[in-house]
This record gives sequence, structure tokens and C-alpha cells, in this order.
Amino acid sequence: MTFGDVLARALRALRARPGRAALSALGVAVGVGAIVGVLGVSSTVQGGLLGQLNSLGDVLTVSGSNSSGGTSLVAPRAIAMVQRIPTVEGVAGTRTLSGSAQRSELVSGQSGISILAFYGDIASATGTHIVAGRNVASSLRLPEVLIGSEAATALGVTTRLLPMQIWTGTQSLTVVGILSPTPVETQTDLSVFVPGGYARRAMGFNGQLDTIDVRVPLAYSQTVGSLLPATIDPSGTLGLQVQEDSSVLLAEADTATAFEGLFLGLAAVAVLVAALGVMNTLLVAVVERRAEIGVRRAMGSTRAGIAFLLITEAIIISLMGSAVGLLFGLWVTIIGAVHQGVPPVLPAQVALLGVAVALGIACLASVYPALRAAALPPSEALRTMA
Amino acid sequence: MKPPVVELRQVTKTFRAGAGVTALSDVSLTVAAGERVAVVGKSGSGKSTLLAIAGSLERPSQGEVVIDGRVLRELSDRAISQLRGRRIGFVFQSFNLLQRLTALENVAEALMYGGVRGAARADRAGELLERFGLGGRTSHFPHQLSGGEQQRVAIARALANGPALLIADEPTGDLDPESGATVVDALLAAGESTAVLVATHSPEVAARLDRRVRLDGGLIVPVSG
Repeated sequence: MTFGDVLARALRALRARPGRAALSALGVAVGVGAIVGVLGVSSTVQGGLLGQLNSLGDVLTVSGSNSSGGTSLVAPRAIAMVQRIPTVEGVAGTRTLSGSAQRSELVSGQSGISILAFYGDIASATGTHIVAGRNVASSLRLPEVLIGSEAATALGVTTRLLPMQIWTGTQSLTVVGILSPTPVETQTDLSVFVPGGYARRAMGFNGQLDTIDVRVPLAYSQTVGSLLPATIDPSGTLGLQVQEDSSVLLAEADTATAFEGLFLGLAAVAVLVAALGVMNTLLVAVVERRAEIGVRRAMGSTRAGIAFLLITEAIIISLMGSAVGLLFGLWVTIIGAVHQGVPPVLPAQVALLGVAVALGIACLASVYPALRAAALPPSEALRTMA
Repeated sequence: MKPPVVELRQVTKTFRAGAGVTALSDVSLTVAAGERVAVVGKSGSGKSTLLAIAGSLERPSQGEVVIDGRVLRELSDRAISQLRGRRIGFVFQSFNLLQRLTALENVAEALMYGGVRGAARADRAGELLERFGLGGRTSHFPHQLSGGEQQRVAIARALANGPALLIADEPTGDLDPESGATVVDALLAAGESTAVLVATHSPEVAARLDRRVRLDGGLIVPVSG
């Protein structure tokens, strides 16, 4: 009796009860699909965030407070010094001015949208780009400003309306460019950026900066981050701190996978139920086929041969189920990816895990029925037919 | 004297179910190669148990069984299974064909367990069915065959691997006398060296065999008349 013989007999036995085999396989499909789907979606979300980080680079934000609790201020030449650090891709320095941006001079009070004077290149330093309009040089001595994405939404600044007037108190500014959203939704998104040249001339800005934004490739963010405080403040009196956007993003990636364990637990329950389903199918098959088992034993099948036949049936059911489950998991992953707007990521290990789970189900489910079938004395099995 | 094919030495079989029924007690029996033996007796006298033990389907509670020169007690499941597949053929009262297989496939299945490789099985099975007058029935399923035909398929299956021992438990019990006669013809068509052990209630069937063994209450008793 070759393996081909066993396979042919197992397939034949399953074909004899197609509905039952299909339902057991469906149970396996749900279990495997749940596992593959959970892992696929979480790796897709994680992969999307990490991919974003890799392509945009990391933004390091340097600020500090001095011993008396006030905000530490840095001279603008810090920008040029940071620029000389290798691998740095963009630097800008900002200073928060008093007041907030409004849509009209008739509105008073706080809008939550900060007015920042800047030196350097805001877009390249914050990992954003100009989505509408044009960039502004920091030396410009005109009231032409850039606006963060959320601030633009809040003030009703749209591409179509550029250039558009906004106000801070009685002072009018002209928005000429809108920035794209930052990867981690920082204060940048809620700010209006006024060129340092104009702020010095007309808004009481003294040229001292409170924040330096530095963009570096992700791989260098630790190294550059450790160099920044000493580069900007050799004396070390300003108490400068470096905040990495990547840490926020990585935390976000962790959050995205925080429920992975819980969902995997639920998926494991589904797998267990699937195994019980397959086991039930096989136990029924053993009872139903006592006579067949007896005849096969009388014809010369070994105990192992009978057990092997049932285990093969379980493996076929489980593999069919896992194939459907993999497709289901892949579909869920793609839906998740489309929803998140990132490419789907389904590591090969996950697919292999799906197959391994299926084989595990087959083994778990078939051992007991197979042993029972093998233990049937042939004469006993034959008696049921008479 | 031809060599014995099956020897039962002081075999006792007790079933543990219920009050511990003794189905056979201290039975010794030797069947020589080519010998045709009828086992007769009332229902419950132990005929089926004797046949099951002589065919290795049951193990005795006490005593020794030797089939084809091999002591069963010393054999592994694999060795006994192989012995059963190649050296022993079984025919049952209710035919016990595999219902989902055609006549040809039923016979081919026995050839598979007898160690015949894939392609040769169908040819051999076809020849066997032809020999038993079932050449036109090869692709029929059991439920499409008459009782007599089913039993002849079962005999073809039992003889497929040229066994040393053919065991038939009430082979004509479910058949009308005419079909029964053709089935006995088929049984007696077994090869010269094949020993045949038939349990039967039918005096006509018993009369066509070489020797009669009578069982009563699990004991072998002298044959009257």
C-alpha cells in the first residue's frame, strides 16, 4: 500500500460526505483566516508606519528650558552649525510669537493656531512639503506666510483661495503656501510660519529661536540626536532636550499592534473550535465506518494503516481549509491596507504559520479518532454490519 | 498427511462483556492444506468465534493458534496483518463488500493489501470476476448486484491473493437455495491447496465438504450420523 493508495482512499472517503468535509474545512478556514488576517493587518499597519518613517526620515526637535524655568533661546547661527553635521537633510529654527492666527481681524481671542517666526527651510526640516502654493524664504521682509495643514483646515485656507489673507490681531498676513501633514501630527500642523525677516521688521521678533527642527535619515537619528545639544549649545547651560518624531511613530506602531495578542487569542479559540469540528467529523466517520474498518482489517490492513488513513483525511480537510483561510486572511489584509492607504504586508512566515496551524489542527484532531479506529478489533467492526 | 494450514491448540475464548461468556472452551482443531471442513452447530454454539480465531481476527483467551506454520502470539500487528492479507481470505454472511466501491474495486482492494502494485490490480481483479461468472458486473456497485452475485464478488475478493486458508461464516445464510448452491460452487473452486473452513446451518452445504466439526456450547462434540 503506497502513499498514493492512502491518499486516493482518503479523498474518496471525503468525497463520499462532501458537505461534512466542507463544513469541517470551513471551520479550519475561519481559524487560519483569523490568524493570518490579524497578523497581516498588524504587519501592514506597522510596515506602513515604518515605511513612512524610512521615506520621510526622522524629525528631531530641539528645545529646552533654562534653570529659572524660562524657555531657552538660541541664536540663529545654530542653524548653520547644525547644517554642517553630516547626513542632516533639513534644518529650521522657530520662535513662537504672541497671539494666534484668525480668519478675520474682527475675531478676537485664541484660535489655538500659533504664529511662529522661522529661519531655515520649514518644509524640509519638518518632513513636510508644499502641497499648494509656493515656499517662502526666511529672509523675506514681506508678510507672506506658510500654513500647517490643520491650521489651513481650521482657517478655511484652500488651494483655490491662495494667496489668502489671515489675521493676527490687527496685523494681516498673506498665506502663499500650504504644508502637507506631518507624519506624527506635531504642532507644525497647527502653526503659521512667518519669515524671520518680516517678523523682525514688523512683529517684534528679536531673532532668538526657541526650537530647532532637524530632519535626518531614520538610521542616523540616534547619532545626530546625541550631537545636537552640544552643537547648538557648547556651554551646556540651556538644558536642551531632543525629541524624536520616530519615537512617537514607533509608539504608534506599537499601539497599532497592541491588540494583536488579544485578537490572536481569539483566533486561537477559533482554531481550537476548528480542531474540535474536525475531530467530531472523524469520530462520526469512525463510528459510521466500523464495518469498512473491519473489512479492511480482514483484508490485511494494519492498525497503523487504518490510523494513517484517518490522519490523512484530517490533513486533507485541514489543508483545504487553510488554503481558503490564507486567501481570506490575505483579503482581510488587503482591505486593511486599502483602508490605511499603505501597501499590504503579509510576511511569508505568516503564510507558513497558517499551514503549520492547519497541520497542527489535523494532528490534534485526528490522533484520538485514529487511535480509536485502530483499536477496533476487526471481528467487532465486522459484527456491526451483520 | 498434508501439512496443517491452521492449528488451534486447546483454545478457550471468554468475552468479558456481561457475565463473562465462554464462547469456546478447550477447543483443538487442525485443518490440513486443501481440506474442506464444515463447522456446524446451533446459533451461539461458538462457530463464528472459532472462525474468527482461526482467521486471526480474534485472539484466544487461552491456547495457541498456528496459521501457516506461524504462532500468532509471537507476531506483531504488522506481521499478522500481512498474514491475513496474503494467506487468509474471508467470506461473511452479509457479504461485507465496501459499498462505495464497484465489484472490480472491491476485489482490487484485496489485491492492494496483498501487495499487488497499482496497475496490475484491475487486470487481476477483472480476471477473477470473470472466473466467477461476473465478467459483466465489474463496474456495478454492491447495491446493484443480487445477493448471490455479491457473495461471489466477496469470494473472488477472498481468493484474490491465492490464500492458504479460506474462511466463510454462514456464506449462504442470507441467500435462497439456488444462489446458495452457486456460492458453494464458487467456494469449492478455491485452489487445491487452499483449506476451506465453512460455518453453516445448512446440511446441504455441510454435506458437500470433506469433514464436519460440530460445536455445542463452545465444545467440540462428536458428529452424530
